[in-house]
Amino acid sequence: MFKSQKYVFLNALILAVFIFGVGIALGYWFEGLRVAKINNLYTQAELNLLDIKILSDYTNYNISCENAIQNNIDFGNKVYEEAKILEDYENAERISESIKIQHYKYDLLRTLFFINSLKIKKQCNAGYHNIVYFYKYESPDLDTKAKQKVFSNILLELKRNQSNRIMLIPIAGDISFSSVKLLTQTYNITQLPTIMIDEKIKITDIESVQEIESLLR
Amino acid sequence: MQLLPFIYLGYMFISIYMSLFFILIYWRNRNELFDIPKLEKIYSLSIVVPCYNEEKEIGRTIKALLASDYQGLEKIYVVDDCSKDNSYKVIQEYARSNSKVIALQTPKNTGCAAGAKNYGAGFVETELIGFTDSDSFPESTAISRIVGFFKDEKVAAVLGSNLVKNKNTFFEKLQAIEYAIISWTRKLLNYVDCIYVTPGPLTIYRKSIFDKVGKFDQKNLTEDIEFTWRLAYHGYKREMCPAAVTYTVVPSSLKQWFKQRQRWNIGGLQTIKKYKAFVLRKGMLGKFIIPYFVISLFLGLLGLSIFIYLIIKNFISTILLTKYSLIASTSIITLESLNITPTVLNFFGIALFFLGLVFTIYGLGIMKQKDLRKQNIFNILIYLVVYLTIYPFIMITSLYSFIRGKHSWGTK
Repeated sequence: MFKSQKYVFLNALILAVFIFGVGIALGYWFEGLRVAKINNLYTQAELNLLDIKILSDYTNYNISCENAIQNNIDFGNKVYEEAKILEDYENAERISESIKIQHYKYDLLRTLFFINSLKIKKQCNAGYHNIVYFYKYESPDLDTKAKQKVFSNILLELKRNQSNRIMLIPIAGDISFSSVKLLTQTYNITQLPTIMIDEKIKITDIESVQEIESLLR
Repeated sequence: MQLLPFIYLGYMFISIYMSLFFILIYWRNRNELFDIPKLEKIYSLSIVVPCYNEEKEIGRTIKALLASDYQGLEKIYVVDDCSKDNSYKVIQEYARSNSKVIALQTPKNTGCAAGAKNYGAGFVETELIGFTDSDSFPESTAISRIVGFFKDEKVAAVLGSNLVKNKNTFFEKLQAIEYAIISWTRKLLNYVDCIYVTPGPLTIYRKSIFDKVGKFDQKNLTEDIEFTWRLAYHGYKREMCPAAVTYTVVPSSLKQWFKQRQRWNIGGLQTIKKYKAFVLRKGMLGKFIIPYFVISLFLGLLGLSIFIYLIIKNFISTILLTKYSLIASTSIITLESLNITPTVLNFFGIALFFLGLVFTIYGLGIMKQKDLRKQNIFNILIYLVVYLTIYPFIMITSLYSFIRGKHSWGTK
């Protein structure tokens, strides 16, 4: 009796590998759906940025400055909202690591956006404040994670209070891309996380929303 | 991929494998699960009942054995291990009123069930020898259903189903679910020659083999596990008859239960230590039973370590978050942080949980414990979510006691 039954060990293994394999494949597919959604948002954002960039180039000829500022603000808001979705999906990613690439792409896009934002602000004498949030992306420790979580909450509240008066741009400060490295070197960002206001003020310690708001006045 | 998701996936794979393993065995043998071999010969049988401080239950156990419909039951040796209560007096009363009952008392307290069992076994001269715990009550048909299995000369031991007698409190009901599922899966393991324990409530052994492989190991806290592994080591078959039901009294308090499970775990560890050299050897003992015990132990401890790690990590994170939030005068919990995006592993976990739920509900139906199934699905959920997850904690304390070498039955 036992000999004929012992094949069950192998049968169960084959079935388990199959079911587990199907599960993993479904997992990849499911996470792939999220990556595809992020990718679509990114493509749209890329087009929008291109549009804004063209508009800002037009401002060289003193055309449509008001339009360029408004589009820039709208784009900033949109990218900020997408950053939250990206963060949610990235935190929920377990099997693949595809969203990481999307994260890098968004960081570069936001870097480009920041540069463009500086340009528009200068050319059009725009009244908004550029707030760049440099955070640690690669393996932050518990203390840094907690600090960054609080920084995020502060900036979220700040954004709610100030709305279009601020341009909130989160950028991972420790990714190994030349443009981001150049940016951190240019503004002497030596510590992460850092909040940089109007390219002058740097906040590395936790401060209240009210204190940051007073710096904007 | 990070390490933790990889470990979770490993757990999931093992869960899927074990579930499929049991489902496949069940599916192949579902029509003969409760088959009872025809009784072709009346074997002479004696039952040994070890007893320590069981004055309340021992009478009922003796009565249950006397009510057996098996004609070959010649003697019931009730061995009192120098109880501190009136157990021996109760036994003597039964012995006076029924010639089948023999009252015995060990010369001095042996400190373990194995001691009383071995003492009683010394008096047995029948073809078969059975053992019943003093707080267990075999149904009248249990013994006659078991004996038929001995027509196969290689069968050394046959055990029955152990179900719970006292299913009154919530905690007892959880144990009743556990016992029913264990009995079912034990029968399934029977089909692949992997029975790893011939438990105390009712097991009958072929006396010639029992004598040949030696008596119960009195140093082991689970002498029934150790003896079963010894039988497997010598290549003897162990059979299970689910239709032979014995009801047993389970601990009513958490403290008693913890102590009992700790004893089982320490006994398991002692047995692993004794037979560790036979991994992948000696048939299914080395190919399944020992690895199954070792892997279960490892996974339990790893799971608990991860659990503790995550608790500590979250605790530290919460403290830091609170500290920084207070400095910033900002809210600790935001609406955004309450928005949880499910991970793939969450979906896998839910699927496995439902598999476990269906498996348990189905198992209770098979073991004819439909009262437990119907009473409350809540009990089954608590059994799966809380009761089973306590085991690793018991394992830690057991391992500590085992390493320190401080363990005993606590019956001295």
